[in-house]
Amino acid sequence: MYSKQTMKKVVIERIPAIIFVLFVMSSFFIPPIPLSKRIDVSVDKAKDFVAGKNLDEDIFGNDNDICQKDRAKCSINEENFFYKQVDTYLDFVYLKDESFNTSGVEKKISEADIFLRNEVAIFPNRTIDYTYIDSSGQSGNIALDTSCILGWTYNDSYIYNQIRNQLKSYGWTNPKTTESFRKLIDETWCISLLAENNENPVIIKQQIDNKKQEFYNFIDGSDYLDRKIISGIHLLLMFDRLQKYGYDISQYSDFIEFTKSYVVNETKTGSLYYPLEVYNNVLYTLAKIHYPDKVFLQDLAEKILLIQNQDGSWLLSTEGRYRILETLRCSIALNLFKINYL
Amino acid sequence: MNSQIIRILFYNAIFAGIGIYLIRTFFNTQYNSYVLFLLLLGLVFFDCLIGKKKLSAYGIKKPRKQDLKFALMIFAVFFPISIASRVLFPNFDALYANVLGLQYSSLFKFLIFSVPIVILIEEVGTRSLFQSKLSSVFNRRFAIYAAIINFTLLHFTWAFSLDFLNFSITFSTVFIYSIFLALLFDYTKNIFSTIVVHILVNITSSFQIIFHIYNQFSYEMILWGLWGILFIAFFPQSISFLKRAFTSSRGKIKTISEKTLLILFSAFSLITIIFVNYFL
Repeated sequence: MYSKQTMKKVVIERIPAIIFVLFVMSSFFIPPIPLSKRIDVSVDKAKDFVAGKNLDEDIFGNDNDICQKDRAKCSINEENFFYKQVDTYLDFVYLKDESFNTSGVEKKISEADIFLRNEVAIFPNRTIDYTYIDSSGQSGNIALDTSCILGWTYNDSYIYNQIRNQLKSYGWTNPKTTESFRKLIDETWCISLLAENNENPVIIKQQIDNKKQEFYNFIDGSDYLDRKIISGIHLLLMFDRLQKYGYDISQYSDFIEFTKSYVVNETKTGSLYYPLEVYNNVLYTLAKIHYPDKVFLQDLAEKILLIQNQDGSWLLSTEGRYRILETLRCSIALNLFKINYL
Repeated sequence: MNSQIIRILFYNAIFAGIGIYLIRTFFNTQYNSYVLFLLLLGLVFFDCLIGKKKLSAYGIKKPRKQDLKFALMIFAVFFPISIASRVLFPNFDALYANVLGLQYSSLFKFLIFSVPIVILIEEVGTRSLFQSKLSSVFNRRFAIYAAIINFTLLHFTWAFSLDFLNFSITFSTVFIYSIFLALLFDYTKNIFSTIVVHILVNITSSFQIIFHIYNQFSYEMILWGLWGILFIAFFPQSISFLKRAFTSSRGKIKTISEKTLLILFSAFSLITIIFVNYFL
C-alpha cells in the first residue's frame, strides 16, 4: 500500500495535468453555436451587405472611379456590364423562390424584378445572339442563355416560341463550332424553358441525350475541373426541373447517380481554381435535390462560412468585383441547406 | 563520410517521392504502399550489407518491455496537442476526414490496410534510414533536429492543398508529434517504440474524428476521458523522459558546413517532393 505521503506526492506532481484535463474537457460542455444559428447570422450579415451596396460600383469593382468618370476607359464594357446586371438581378429575384427570409432586401428584389420584367417586355425588339459561344452562329443583341433564363424565370411564351423555333436536332448551337462548356450549360436552361411549356417528351428526350453525351465528352476533355463540376450541376438542376414539370426521367437514373458522384468526388478531392464558386453551386444544387450525405454538405457550408468577410460579403475576384452576386449565391445555398437539413 | 552523406540523401529521396515515382514508372501501377515498404526494407538490408552492420544499428531489434512503457508515456503526452487542436479548430476533423475519405464504412479498412503500412513506411524511412544513419555520421542532436524538420516537411504536399488556417494546424501538430517521435527513437534506439506510438495516435485520432463528425458526443468524451487519464497518470514521467531524452542526446552543430548540411538534410524531403512533382 502507498503511504499517505506518497499519495500526496503523486497527486501534487500531477496537478498541472489534472487542471489542464479538467479545463479542456469542460470546454466541450459549453454548447457550441449551432450551425443553423451561424447560418442565420451569416445570411443576415450578407443581406445587410447587399442591401447597402450599389450594384454599378460592385460590378466595376476596384475600377469604379475610372469607370464612373469615363466609360471608354473602363475595363468592363457595356455588354459585360449588362449581363452581370442581369445575373445579379436574377439572383435577387430567386431569393423569393428559395424559402428565403427577404426582409431588408425587398426593395432590391423589387428593383431587380422591375428591371428584368422590362427586359422581358422588350424582347420582341431583340434577336438572339449565338456568336458569344458559336463562331458559326447568328449575331443578335441578347445572349441565348440569358434569353432562356429570362423566359424560364418569367414563364414567357414569346421567348419560349422564339427559342422553340430555333431548336435543331443538335440543340441550339452547332457542336462543331461551339465552345463545349457553354453549349452544355447554356442549353440546359433552354431545355428547362421547353419543359416549362409542356414540350413534347420526345423532343426533350432527344435534347437530354445530347447533353448526356456532351457531358461524358466534356469530363474526358482537358478543360479545368471547376467547369466540369459546374456542368454536372447544371445537368442535375435541369433534371430536377424536368421532374417537377412531370417528365419521366427514370431512364436517366444511372446517369443522374453518376453525375452526382462525379460532382461530389471531384469537389472533395479535385484541385479547384475557384473553390468558393464551386462550393456554393454544389451546396445549392445538392441541397435542392436532397442529396443524402449531410456530412459532405455540412462541410461545404462550414467552408463557405469560414471565408465570409467581416462586412458580410463573399469575394470572388481580386479586382473586388461581383461581390453582390457571389454573396447572394452563397446566402441562397447556405439558407437552402439550413432549411432542408438542419 | 561523403559516401555516407550521399547514401542518406539517396535513401531519403527514395522515401520522400522517388520511390513512388519508380513504382509508378517501372511497375506501371498506381502508388502501392506495400511495394514502397519492401523497397525501403530492401534499402535497409542493402545498407546493412555494404556497411557490415547489424539490423539493430537501424533500430530494428527485439522490442523490450521498457520500450513499450516509453511508448505509452509518449502517447500520453500527445493528449494536450490533440485535444487543443480539437477544441480550438473544431472544423478541422471534417476536413481531415474528407481528404482521407474517412467514414464509418471505410474505418476498419482504413485502420487495417492503410494506417499500419503507412506507419511502417514512415518509421523505416525516417528512423532506420535517416535518423539512425545521421546520428552515426554526425551526432545525435544533429540527427534529432534533421529528423524533426524532415519528417514535418514530408507532410507538406498533403498540407499544402489546404487553406492557410488548416495548413497551419496540420503543420504545427505534425511538427510537435515529430519532436516527440524523434526524441523517443533517439533514446530507445528501437523502431518498435515509435511504431507503437504512431499506431496508437493514428488509431485513437481516427476513432475520435469519426465520433466527432458523426456527432457521437458521448463516445468522443469517453475516448478523450481515457486518454486524459493516461496523460495524468504518466504526466511526471513523460515530462522527465522528454527532458532526459533531450539532454542525453549530446552533440553540437558548430561549423558552417555542419549547419549547411543540417539545412540540406532537414529540407531534403521537401526538395524531393518539389522535384518529383514539377520536374519528373
